[in-house]
Amino acid sequence: MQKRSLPLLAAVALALGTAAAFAHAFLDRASPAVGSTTHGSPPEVRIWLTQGVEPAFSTIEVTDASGKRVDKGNASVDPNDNKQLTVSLPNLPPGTYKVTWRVTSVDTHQTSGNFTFKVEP
Amino acid sequence: MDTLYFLSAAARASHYASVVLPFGSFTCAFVVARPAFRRVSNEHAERPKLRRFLLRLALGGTVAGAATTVLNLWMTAAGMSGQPLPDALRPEILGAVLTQTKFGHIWLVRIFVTALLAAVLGFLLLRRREKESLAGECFAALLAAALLASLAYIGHSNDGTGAEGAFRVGADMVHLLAAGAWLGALPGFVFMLARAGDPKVRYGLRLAHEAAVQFSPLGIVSVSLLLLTGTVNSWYLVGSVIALVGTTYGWILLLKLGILAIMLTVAAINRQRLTPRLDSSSSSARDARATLQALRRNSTIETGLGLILLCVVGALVAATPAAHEEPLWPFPYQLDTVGLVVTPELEAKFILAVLLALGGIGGIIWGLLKRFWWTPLGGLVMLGAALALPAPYLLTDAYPTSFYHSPVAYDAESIRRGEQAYDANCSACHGAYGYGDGRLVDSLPIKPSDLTGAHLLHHGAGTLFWWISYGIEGTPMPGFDDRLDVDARWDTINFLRAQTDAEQSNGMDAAVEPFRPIVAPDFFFQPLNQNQETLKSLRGRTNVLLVLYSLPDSMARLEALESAKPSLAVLDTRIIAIAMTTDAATEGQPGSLASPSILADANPDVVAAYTLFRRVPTGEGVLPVPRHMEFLIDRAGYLRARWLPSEEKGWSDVAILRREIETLNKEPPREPAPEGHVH
Repeated sequence: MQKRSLPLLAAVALALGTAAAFAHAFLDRASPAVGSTTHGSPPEVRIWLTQGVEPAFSTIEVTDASGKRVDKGNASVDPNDNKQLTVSLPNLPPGTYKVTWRVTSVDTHQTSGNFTFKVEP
Repeated sequence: MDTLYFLSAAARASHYASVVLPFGSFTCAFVVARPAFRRVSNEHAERPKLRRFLLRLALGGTVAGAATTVLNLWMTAAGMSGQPLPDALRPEILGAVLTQTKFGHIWLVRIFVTALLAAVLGFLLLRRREKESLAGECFAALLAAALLASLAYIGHSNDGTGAEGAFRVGADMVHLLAAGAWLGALPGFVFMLARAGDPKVRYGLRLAHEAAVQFSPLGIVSVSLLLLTGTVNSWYLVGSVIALVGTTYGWILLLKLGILAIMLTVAAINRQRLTPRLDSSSSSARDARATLQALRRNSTIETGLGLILLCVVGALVAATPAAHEEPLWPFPYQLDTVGLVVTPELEAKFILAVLLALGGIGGIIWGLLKRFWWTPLGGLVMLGAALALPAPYLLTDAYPTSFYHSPVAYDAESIRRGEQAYDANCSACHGAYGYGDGRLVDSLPIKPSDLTGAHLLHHGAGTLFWWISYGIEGTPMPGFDDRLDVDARWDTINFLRAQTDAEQSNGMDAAVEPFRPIVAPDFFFQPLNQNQETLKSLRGRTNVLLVLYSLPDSMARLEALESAKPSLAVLDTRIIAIAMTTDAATEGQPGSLASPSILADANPDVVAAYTLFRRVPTGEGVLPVPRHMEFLIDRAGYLRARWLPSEEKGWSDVAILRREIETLNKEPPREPAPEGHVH
């Protein structure tokens, strides 16, 4: 819907589409997928973000339905791709779990979010 | 805009103002002072005085740069760690920022350059003889350039990746250096003008004249580069005129441009009127002295404006780039040419407007050339009339949210929630199927609109959001912001989109028709005993045959499709079969299929969303939900064909289905359906 046109002093309006780079790291996708149901307990939660993040200031944790933390506490940024954040999971009993992430993108902006997934036997 | 923002802006502004001085001083020395002295007198007594002033200015800027570095690191640490300001100063947090983050590493390099530059400048100041320190001055100038240009790595232009990212950083570096060369050279220039006015200085006027003559091209080249690279930066960071006027970043940028315009006016006066009069060969000595005073005053004003400009830049750099925000449209109207109907009356007005515009522009140019004051004024009035004439035809109402994007994805889940909200809130007036024939219609002074027209979505999701939230003035349409939360309203808009698409594509049949942008709503599906997938993940890779089935009616068909699976896989087509209902009859059956891999778990969202697409054009109204429906979705994610067994023979012969898929595969690759929402 949005027409993109030359700003500033240019009198000519061009209609082109450009993809703007996002300075905030938002959730692109996750495994287990947001709101999905897995058969069996997944070994890890991995989230892909839209921007690279700083390991020193990024965290991710998984809690169960009662709010108790269940992940292994080894949240880390993938050394080969700083857009991926993972944390390992022990064998989880069936139920609903909540993933909460808080990251700082490489250009210093903080974002956070959460989602749930279900584990079925 | 909280406290941290203002403090960050102040920290950035003060750092920029400091770091501009060293590079600007060297620019003044090499581009303005050196040539000026060469033309007047190489052994001039003022030369060492100017040199000392410039070196001291550069050193002052460098030291201030070091101090403001600490401020900036503190602000960055607070932002990155989320800690309150006093806590962010703790060594472990500052240390983590400096040593473990990309930003921190860049600052470390800059701190090193700052220290080295301070050392070299100190050394140069201690040496008495200018001639021997040329190499040192060049080295210091390079360090100053590096210090200034490296600011590009800590700004928003560093967001990109690959070649495009490098281009953006490069453009920003040129922008910084051009700004430094111009703004940073101004204090030195003012110093030269001030000293030239001292009667004890030999050839004072000539020196001032030569300096002004040298400064002029420096200003022109710098400003040209600034405008060019500024456009590049804004292309990425603002992206559209809408974002320019609809976001805080955009308004700050407009303020920056306004200040720049004032500075350019002053610079133009300096160049066109004052500098020529400094030449004492063409004007009297007294006139030249008065001009020198005026030039010095103007240049001081320019320097002051430059400082204000850098403060605005600090505010700009600390703000979220406009392209990353939802724009709040500040005007009551927007430009809209799609709904334009060209009538003879409109044509006549348009021709009149063009004539007025030409006359207006001609009048302005003539008046400026001939220096009549009233002709440009009259020209402006004509131009205004020319723009006002077609305006009512080209403008439509706009609202603050008109250019918003939906934060909710266009998927089956959202459409189903939207349908529920619609049934509860909208169907009473707009009808169960959106035709504007709800039960309350007779009691309304203005009839509710038919929501299934092709032009519904032309209004824009943001305008629809405003209407749903706050109603339409002058009509019985109420606002629902008290009854539906924000996400529910966006769900409703997604449902309206699906409903309109369904009505507009009601002629879809089993033959693949020429492309129309009917997006197949995204959905989760879980093939039996496998991991969940989404329709979107298949985009770009396979076509999809979506089968909504009921048992026992569809049993034979499912078995036929199961056997046809390999032949369809060869044509890059995946079959996804989802049950229409989840009653007991369905549960038991799937096991009887040979290998139930086309079957996926029951999914009420998919059923709700895709059964919307059961409309047909034969005046029967909306059919009851059929027991079996099949949809062909192409690689790009668009709905291309549909088979309702009750309406035609269609794909009952799988060979016909294969032929239609082959038609699809012959099409040139298409861009996938655009992402309708933003994060």
